[in-house]
Amino acid sequence: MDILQFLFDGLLIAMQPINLVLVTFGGILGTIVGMLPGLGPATGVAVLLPLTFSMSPTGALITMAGVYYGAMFGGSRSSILINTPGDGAALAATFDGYPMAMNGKAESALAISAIASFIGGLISVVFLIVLATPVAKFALKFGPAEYFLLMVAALSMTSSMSKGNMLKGFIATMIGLAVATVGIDAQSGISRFTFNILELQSGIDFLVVIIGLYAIGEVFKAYSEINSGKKIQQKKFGKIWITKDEWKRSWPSILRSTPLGFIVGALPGAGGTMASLMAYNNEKQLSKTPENFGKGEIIGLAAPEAANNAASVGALIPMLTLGIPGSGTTAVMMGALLMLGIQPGPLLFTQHPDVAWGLIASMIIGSFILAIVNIPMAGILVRVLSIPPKVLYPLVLGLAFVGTYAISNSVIDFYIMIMFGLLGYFMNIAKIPTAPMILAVIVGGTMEQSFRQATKISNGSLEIFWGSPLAISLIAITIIFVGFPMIKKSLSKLFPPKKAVETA
Amino acid sequence: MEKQKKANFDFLSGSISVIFGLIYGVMSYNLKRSPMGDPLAPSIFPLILAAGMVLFGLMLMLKSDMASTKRAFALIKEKTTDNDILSRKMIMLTVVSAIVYAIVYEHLGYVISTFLFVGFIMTVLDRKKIRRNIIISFIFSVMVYYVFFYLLGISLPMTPILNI
Repeated sequence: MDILQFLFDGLLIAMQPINLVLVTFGGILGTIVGMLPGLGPATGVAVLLPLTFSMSPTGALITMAGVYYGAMFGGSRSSILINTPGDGAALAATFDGYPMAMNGKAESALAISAIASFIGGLISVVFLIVLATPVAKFALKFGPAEYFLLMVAALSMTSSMSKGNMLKGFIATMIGLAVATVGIDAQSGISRFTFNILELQSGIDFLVVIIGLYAIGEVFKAYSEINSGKKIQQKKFGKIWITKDEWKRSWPSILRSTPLGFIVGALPGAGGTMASLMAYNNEKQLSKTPENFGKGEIIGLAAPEAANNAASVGALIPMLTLGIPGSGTTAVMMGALLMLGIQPGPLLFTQHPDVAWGLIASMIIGSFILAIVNIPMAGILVRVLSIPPKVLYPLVLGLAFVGTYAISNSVIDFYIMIMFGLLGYFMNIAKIPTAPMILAVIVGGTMEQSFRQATKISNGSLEIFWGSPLAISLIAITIIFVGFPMIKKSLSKLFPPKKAVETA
Repeated sequence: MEKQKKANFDFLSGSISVIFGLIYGVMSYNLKRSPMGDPLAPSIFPLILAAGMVLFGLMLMLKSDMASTKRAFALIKEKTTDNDILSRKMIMLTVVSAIVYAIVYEHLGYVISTFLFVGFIMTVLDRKKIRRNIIISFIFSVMVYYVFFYLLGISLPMTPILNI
């Protein structure tokens, strides 16, 4: 089998000592950034990306895989210990993780979250290995029109599923796409929306937008909590491990939540937050003692953690095979790949299988290393949480700026980044989701190109967009997803839910 | 939630979207015509986006009303704590210092400008520990410069006079 051969080669490369050092290094840095309240994997990857600029593509991929996993592990550390999720996906870990820590079971909580994440991630990588090639092969059948519709579908799904209302998601998408139109138009050579600023001719780099919206915007948001002074309660830990009994209780829920998380994660827009909340509610319903949930039930921590990591791997499927990121975090990962000159998409698996499988191999190695780093060393790592945020946030800002400069060597991007940082802050106040905007900025360029190619093929007629069965089914999917929230709303009016499921 | 009068910024957000869409649309239409192929080709996609912004913006405005936005502003005013005022001040100072940072960045060089910027923000966040802030921001700026310049080979603006 070719795939196994590539995977095996990838594993061999990823296990070279230098790469092991890199993944550990990336993992530790990622964990530290991830532990900061508000800063999740997306911010972690965005801020730490410049570190990889001078590395070889392989080294860079491996480091980024480490950062990605590390930030995810880190997010749940702060959920458990200070009841503040690093990002949305770590929210469910606060429900039972924090009560566990309060009950004096911080060690078990830290251990089960790492174990569940590890198992969830690893099993999902197996799913990914099985599914990636068929999906990529299928995607090769897409012409420009289908590709355009696929992006429309992905963007509308993201808008319809993101919190807040769908209209605001659409507005965010439109503005994101508009940001992507800035710069010289590749087909006609005409500069668009550059306001005669030389630096804008090459367009607004999506990484700058991401760092602005995520890093700067999130730091601004965090300022309001900085003075509330949430502090880590426990600084000394015993052996971080779980008892046999705890393991017996948790493993079925981990195995149940993994496929759930993977599927939810693979859908554009759903992502880790939804996956972990669904897994949590699912286990609560299955449990014989649902009243224990929220009071330090270990299953209530194991399930969302497994689902969250599974979702993060599932989200790689549309990103790697179709070139369409399904979440803010995968969008940033895609940005990292593009930065390295790797174009994710169906061709990645046929033309550069070594890169595709190398990334997957480094994720496998990454999850092992991170589990090793996070279980025995968790006691040391969480000391970071006792460093005052008043020191850490300015450093994150400093890293955001140096990262931006490293991308473009231009100060103009500083202003753009500050603007997007403020925009992110205000969007949060107005409850407009930022994820659709990020996705739009990333796919905007390709989306317009496919649109124009399609209309060129059809000599300007728009019929090409419903001219094939594939196109029609993509339109149908879009309509269903856009209509779904409305249908759900009217259904819930007809059949009021028995009991509101606790989500906060 | 009880039967409360809605308070949200949707009306404002919608109108911003409409205004932005109109400006963007006019700019798209006024783009230079393409010398080859369809002369309007570079404008079509932006025009579609502009139409989307106006349409979705109007829909959002219709779903809400001006009174809700007014209530939302009033609510924010009413609920503002000293902590909020403080954090808003912090944000403003951060933005201002970031703009100053951008202006002096290439003139003062990375190390000096970053030391001032990070040190200043740390002091904005925590006024009491000035000595700690000076030490940490100094170590940070020197370390980042060293890592980027020597280990990663990414050039950052040099420190004037010293030329390192």
